Amino acid sequence: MRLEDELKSLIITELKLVDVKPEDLKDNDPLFGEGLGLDSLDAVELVVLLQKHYRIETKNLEQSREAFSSVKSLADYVRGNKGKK
Amino acid sequence: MSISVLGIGTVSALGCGIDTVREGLEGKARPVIEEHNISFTDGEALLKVYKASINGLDRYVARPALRRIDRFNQMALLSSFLAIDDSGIIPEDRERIGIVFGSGYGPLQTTFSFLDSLIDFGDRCASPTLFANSVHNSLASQASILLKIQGPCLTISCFEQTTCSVMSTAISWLREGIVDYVLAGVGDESCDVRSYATLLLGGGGCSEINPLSFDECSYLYGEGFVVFLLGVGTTDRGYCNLISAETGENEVSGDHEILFLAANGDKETGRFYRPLINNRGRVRAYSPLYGGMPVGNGFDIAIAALSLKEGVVYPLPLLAPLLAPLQAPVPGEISSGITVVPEQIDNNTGNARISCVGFDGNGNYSLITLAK
Repeated sequence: MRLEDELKSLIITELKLVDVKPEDLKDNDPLFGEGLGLDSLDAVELVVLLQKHYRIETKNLEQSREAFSSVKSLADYVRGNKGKK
Repeated sequence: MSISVLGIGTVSALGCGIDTVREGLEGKARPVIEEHNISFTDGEALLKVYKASINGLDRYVARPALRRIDRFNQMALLSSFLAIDDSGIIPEDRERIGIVFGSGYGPLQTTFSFLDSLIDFGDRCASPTLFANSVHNSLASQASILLKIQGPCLTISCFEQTTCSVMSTAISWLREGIVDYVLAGVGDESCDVRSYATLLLGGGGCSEINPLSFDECSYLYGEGFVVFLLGVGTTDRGYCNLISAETGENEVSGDHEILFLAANGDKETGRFYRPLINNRGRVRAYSPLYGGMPVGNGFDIAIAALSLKEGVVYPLPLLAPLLAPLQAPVPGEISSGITVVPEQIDNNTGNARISCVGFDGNGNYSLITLAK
């Protein structure tokens, strides 16, 4: 499975998004605001999701702001940080 | 000053709404009892659990707004909406409505999910949503937010004494004029840890609850939530009056015209209920309809209110037919010698009174009395 598709499923499951299917999400759609409509509490849940599933600790807020902008950027962030401590 | 039960909302193994409780009492509906397979260090076991269903909450709250509210809180929320609907009252001043909710164990499923995540992944993985729902007070606060209620808001948790504490708090708020209405509710939910604890205490393995057989354990645990809309008024409003909610030790004094026992097949508490069988008035126990839980007497209060409104003391639930294909209730006798023939009561104002008694494992009782 593509990492982007895996992340879409995880986001929907972990954030308990209702009436949203993985196929509804485009790789470059914004996750926050007018896109998927996630909010600041979801951002914290995304940090938890990355730690839990990929062992990636997110400490740099500026970096994460960019990484959390879309599924594509999130996948790039996971690829770039997986396995790092 | 009279405190009236104006509306009742229930979520239980019988379904959602007070009508499902009535259908259960009339033998027209059976509770959903599921088999749970639980595994633990020493092996695995199968036990029966009364399972509630939550249907129709999206009639009141948009589905996206429910995504951060766990199942237990949803039970409380739906029961609250159903209680208000049942009353037909739309209180205008939301600052004059209070909420007092209670639970014997609180949001167990979420609490243990949260703790599991801490154990497995450390405190850096503490989910804020899981944490918020794992706090006992989330029950009353979620309802307060979504029902836009701005009066006092409280959640109480003291095991078998919870229902009595909730009711006495509600009575105090109304009598002191702090609020005009109170949503008073209690509930508990199922989870694997509770299943395991039930197993350790010898329950869960029998086929049915036999509440008046005190020499054997026939405990099956249940889940659900019941909410009452209470207000100051007269008996012609709503179901009946809530007279008192008191606690005591060991012996329930006096004879009671009609006594509902929260006995639920648990042998430990059963010994405290046994003497009450000799009560000169009529005795009933309805736990086979809703399952065993610390706040089971909350459902007894709902049944008492329904009984007083309709002028009928419903028969003891016939146990075997609950698990077999549905059959009409057959009048007759069960082992305790208590008749199961439906009985009329005089529910003209001032003539009928029902007391609901519940014991904890130490013999402390709570006694809640309602009258028409």
